Amino acid sequence: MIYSLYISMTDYNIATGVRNFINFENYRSALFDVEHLRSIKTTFIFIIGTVALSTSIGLGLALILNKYSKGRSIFVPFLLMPMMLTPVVVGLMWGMMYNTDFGVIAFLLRTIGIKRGSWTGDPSTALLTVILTDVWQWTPFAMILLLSGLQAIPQEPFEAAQIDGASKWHMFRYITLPLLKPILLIVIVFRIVDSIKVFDVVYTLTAGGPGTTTEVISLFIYRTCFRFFRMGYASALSWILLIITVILCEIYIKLIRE
Amino acid sequence: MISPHMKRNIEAISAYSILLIALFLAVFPTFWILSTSLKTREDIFAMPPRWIFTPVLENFKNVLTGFPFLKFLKNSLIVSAANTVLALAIGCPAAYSFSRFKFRGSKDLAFWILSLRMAPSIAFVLPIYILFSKLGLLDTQLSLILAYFTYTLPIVIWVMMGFFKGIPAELEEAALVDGSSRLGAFFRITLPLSLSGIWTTAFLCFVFCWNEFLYALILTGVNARTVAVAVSAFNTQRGILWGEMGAASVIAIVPVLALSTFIHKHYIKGLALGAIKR
Repeated sequence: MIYSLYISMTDYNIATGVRNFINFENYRSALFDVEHLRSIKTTFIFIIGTVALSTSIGLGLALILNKYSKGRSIFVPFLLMPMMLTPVVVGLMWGMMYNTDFGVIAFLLRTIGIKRGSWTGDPSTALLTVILTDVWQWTPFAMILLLSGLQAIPQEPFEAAQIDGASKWHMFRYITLPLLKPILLIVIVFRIVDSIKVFDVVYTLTAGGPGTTTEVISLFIYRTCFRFFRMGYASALSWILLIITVILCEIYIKLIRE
Repeated sequence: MISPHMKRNIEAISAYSILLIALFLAVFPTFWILSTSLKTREDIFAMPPRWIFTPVLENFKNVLTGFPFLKFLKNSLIVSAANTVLALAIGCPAAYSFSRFKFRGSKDLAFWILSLRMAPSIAFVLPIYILFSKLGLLDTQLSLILAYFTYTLPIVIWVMMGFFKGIPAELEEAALVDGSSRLGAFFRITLPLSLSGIWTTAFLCFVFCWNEFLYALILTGVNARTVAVAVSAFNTQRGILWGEMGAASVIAIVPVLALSTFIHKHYIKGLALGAIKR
């Protein structure tokens, strides 16, 4: 790690072998690098989309599964399946289904009248396809943790509320949600941290394209380092990313200790 | 007028239909890739998609004979198994001491280890890459086994800490009174009692190593390539070999799915422990 800190202060380029100590120059240029800032923005949109969707869908499914216990043991293992799959395979699999020429999604959408070019190749829909794919894989994670949280909630407050004539929405809003809050926070933080790291799915589904519309931060660092061989700059970028993650972790730990 | 009884029925029906739709969405892509792997070239490119077709094993044969895929499978297996065993061997004692002894900064150290799990791999892969290239370890199975510790060790330590804390210290104290050593108490009492936890953790580690992509992509070349990287390599310069890719994907996901079917109860418990008891 310390070595990488040193590297991050040089203009080390593996291809040319140049290596001069340039102090914090890399960090300064990272702050003004348009591509870097754009990849942060893409990551940010990706995080908001995937975390919001996977958590809310996961919560919905968990609520249903919690209430209707009949058949739960049959549904749950199948619903968990996406989570177990190799992310690379998930990316390729969805890439195949999104495919314009013979993909099954394109086909289904065409039969109901929505005609599009390529879903992964169109700049306006590419990020959406990546988000949906990630949501598909990680909703089960949110679902199963929230379900175990729901099952730990005692029944008494609900019975009391029912006697008082509370509506379903009120019971959810004022009993379930506050009691579920700690685990909901954990799920959200976990999803955020995992989304910052996202690489496999994007790499196999769109490889950051078309252009750079789906280039998340991991992919940007990867490209800087292993396509342009700018080790020094890439190390600096890694350190910035690490610092962002550490700050998030600190917030997380604070939340847990409360 | 809708009676309350009917209302309840409608609710139940809609709830189960939502579950069924979710079930379909969860399973369909996997089914699709399985069917692709069994199709001939013409069937794959047919439009509209062919739902009924004569399955062929040609793609599997191509993958296993045309490419060194068996070698990649072996790599994945060796790396995942070795890393899991070693991570457990190192992580269990560490988790045990975290759960039993309070020393200065033990809490901070535990959180620091946890933050390793949260840190993005891309931030670690650079220094590791430079280090391993200096040591001449690139493209060896050892490089991956070592690199995966950055993820599996925190997992082992955190999940096992939860399990060890659940085992009453009195049991060990009883053994100590009877003349057993601390180490003896750990091996004869605590460890056997937390066996289900060990299986869970082993599964989590194994799945992680098996599925990992970024380290494997960067640290390996032709020799130590793992299945995950090999699957993505069917996306070749000359176009994507869909059938072969489908077959390779199926081979890649089968071991994990098979393992998960008979361990999934433990798996959920492990996830919950890993996430909640922090």
